[in-house]
Amino acid sequence: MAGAAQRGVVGDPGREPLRMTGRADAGGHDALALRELLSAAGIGVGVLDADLRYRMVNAAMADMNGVGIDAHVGRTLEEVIPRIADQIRPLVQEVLHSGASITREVRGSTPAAPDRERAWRASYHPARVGDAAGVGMVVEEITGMVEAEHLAEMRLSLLDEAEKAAGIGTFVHDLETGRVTLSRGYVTLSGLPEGVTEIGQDEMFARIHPADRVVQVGRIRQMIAEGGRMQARIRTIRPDGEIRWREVFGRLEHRGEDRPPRVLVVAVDVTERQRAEDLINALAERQTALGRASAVIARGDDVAEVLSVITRELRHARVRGSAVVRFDDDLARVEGSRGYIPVSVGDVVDMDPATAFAAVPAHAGIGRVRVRPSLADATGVPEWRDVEMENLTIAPIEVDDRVWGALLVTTEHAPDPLSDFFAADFARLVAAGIATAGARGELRRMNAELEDIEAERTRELQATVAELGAFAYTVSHDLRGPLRAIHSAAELLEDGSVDEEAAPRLLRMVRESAVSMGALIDDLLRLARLGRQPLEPERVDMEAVLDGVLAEMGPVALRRVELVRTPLPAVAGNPTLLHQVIANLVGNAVKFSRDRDVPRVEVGFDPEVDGGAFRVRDNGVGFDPQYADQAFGLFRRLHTDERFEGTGAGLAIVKRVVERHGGAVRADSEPGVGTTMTFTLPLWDEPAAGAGGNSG
Amino acid sequence: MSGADTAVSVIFVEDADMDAELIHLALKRSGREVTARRARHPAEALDMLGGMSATPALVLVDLAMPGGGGVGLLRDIRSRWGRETLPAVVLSSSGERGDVESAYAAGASGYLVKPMSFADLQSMLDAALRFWVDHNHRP
Repeated sequence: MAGAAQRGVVGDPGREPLRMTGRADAGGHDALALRELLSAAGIGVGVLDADLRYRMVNAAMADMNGVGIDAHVGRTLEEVIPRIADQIRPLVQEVLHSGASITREVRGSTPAAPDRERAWRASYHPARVGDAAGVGMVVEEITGMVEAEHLAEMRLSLLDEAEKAAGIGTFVHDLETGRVTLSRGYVTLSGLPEGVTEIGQDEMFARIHPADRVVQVGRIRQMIAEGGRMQARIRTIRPDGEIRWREVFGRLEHRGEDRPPRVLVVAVDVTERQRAEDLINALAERQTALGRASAVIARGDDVAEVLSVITRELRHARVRGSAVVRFDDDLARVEGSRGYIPVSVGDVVDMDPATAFAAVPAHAGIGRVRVRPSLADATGVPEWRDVEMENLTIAPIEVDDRVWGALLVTTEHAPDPLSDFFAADFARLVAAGIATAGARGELRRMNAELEDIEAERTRELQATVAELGAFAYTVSHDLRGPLRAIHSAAELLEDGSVDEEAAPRLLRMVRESAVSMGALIDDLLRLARLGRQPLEPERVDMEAVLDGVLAEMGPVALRRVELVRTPLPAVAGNPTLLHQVIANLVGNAVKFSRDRDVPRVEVGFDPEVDGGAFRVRDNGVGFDPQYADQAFGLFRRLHTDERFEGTGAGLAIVKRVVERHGGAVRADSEPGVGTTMTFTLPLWDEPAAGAGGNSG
Repeated sequence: MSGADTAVSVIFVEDADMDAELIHLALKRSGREVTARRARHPAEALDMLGGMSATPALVLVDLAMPGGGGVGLLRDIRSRWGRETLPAVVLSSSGERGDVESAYAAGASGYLVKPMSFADLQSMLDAALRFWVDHNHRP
């Protein structure tokens, strides 16, 4: 019963006063008073004689045994208290034999309460009974105490179990001694060897994670200085190196002004909770990242931009780095990368779409990928290098039912149970982004194309409408003239008011009018047909075309004309239409220079002008340059002088044909000096003549 | 100078030969003595006007000449001669409102549309002469 405090058993206040047995050898009033006192105090006193028979007991002992005082005298232990006699006999024999006192705890039941387990602290001393030896007994009942102790032990044991079950430990840190007394729960919690009950405060603090240590020591100091309580969540390191999260609750227990207090601490292992909280936070961040990325995808129409934004959003979700790899023919290429992931855009990854996702998605504590730079970036033959990445997760990106590529993600912590889902979710998002952006981009391109087509059609339509307007105006003018002439001539001839020499002239007017109207109609038809003829470009030798035109015009028309020609290249086009162009231009040139003393017509090709242009130049009357635009208007003639016969459709036809070939035509003139018509046509791509020429 | 006895000087500016012949014929048949001279284009007309000692009684201007020549000629004429001094009447194959408006804006004294019928042309020019020539020659 080590460490027991002073405790007393209070006598029952309802007892009757001590009864004298009549044996007076106990001696005198003082002795009597003492026995009464002892009885009142609940301390049993008795004496055994040399035969170990009861000689005398006090009332308390009689009560303890449950046998009357008189009934003890002369009886053996076995007779009075049979159930516990076997514990006592060896003790009293020892006392008798050795003459030394013995103190023991005795447990059992006595006749006083046969079914009740009780406990006493008994001390046995050598005594003299008359001349003979004897044993004096002093017995104090400690049943309540023992029961209390037992209860306390039970409670302690329950507490230990509760601590263990709840992952709680408690300890008391004595600031005076620097020792920390640990509960069993704490020992289990902290992974210390079983049986350890206390450690030094230095070792205690050493167990705190270095990152939290200083702050925690500060908290304790503050608590000591200011009183109050302390609560904190810190990390601790178990002997095996594992890091656990602890919630610690501490308070002070003071023990006097000049003594340092004790610190009482309850430590709760909250590692699982912390991990759960971390996971929830991570999930929340990931959801946010997914949400933001979704918003981008909803708007994006450029695949590269979508990829860049997605990898940027991934960065926020506790992802150290991410990369998007695209499967392109037989190569897997990095399209986008962000954060810590040691691959660059353009790198080629050794990944085969068929096998990369054998376990889908795949993740590894350490992921290994083979990478090399792209051929374009490398000098010489690019080499493969092995890249190791911690906490790598790979998820497939599927677009339009095929594996478009892969999403690589490296995380700060080892992949948690939901990492795979996250990576797969993000990969799906990337796929959606690619599909949407692709579709958007496609849509945009199609829209742009449609707009271009529409603009082109509108231009064509407007040009046609304008042409029709001019057409209507000038046809009315150009037809009315001849019609008027015919009408008036017929009138005059009909009413016979003309004289003989006038008549042939009038008839000639009629004929010429008919001819010019016929020519106008022919030109109209030709111009109309131009629009509908498909252009099937073939190789057209412009030299041959010019020869043809000159032959057609005949030597008479070209008489007196000084013709200067330089070599003409071959073009890609329609020979019939190009013949008309040359015929019109050369015809005009000859026509308008007719009045000169020396009519001069030049036909040539200048590679330096407009990237290569044909020209037809004459030294004729020219026209006012400010009306150059009108030159090509349908039927707008710059010289409506009928000395220069022919309708004005010629230049309109030239313009139409040249533009259908993809070229352009312009007219430059200096009145009184001459006119130059310049036009471009697509040149025929001649293959290199002979070996040794440059390619292309 | 009293009207009907003296030859009336008319200049007409017309690029188309056939129309020019018809106009000439119509003027000659107008029932008064008309000296009609033809200019083929605006420049020639201005030269003619510049070289004449006396301004003609009437100038007839065809509009449909290249590069808006007719309207330009009207402006040039007006810059030198007022309406009172030199009536310049348009004789055009077009009756388009736009042409009529530009002609008047440029200072035309009147606007006549060339008819199909010769008889109509003749009576039209007759009326024009009566109005402009007689009008201008106040007793």
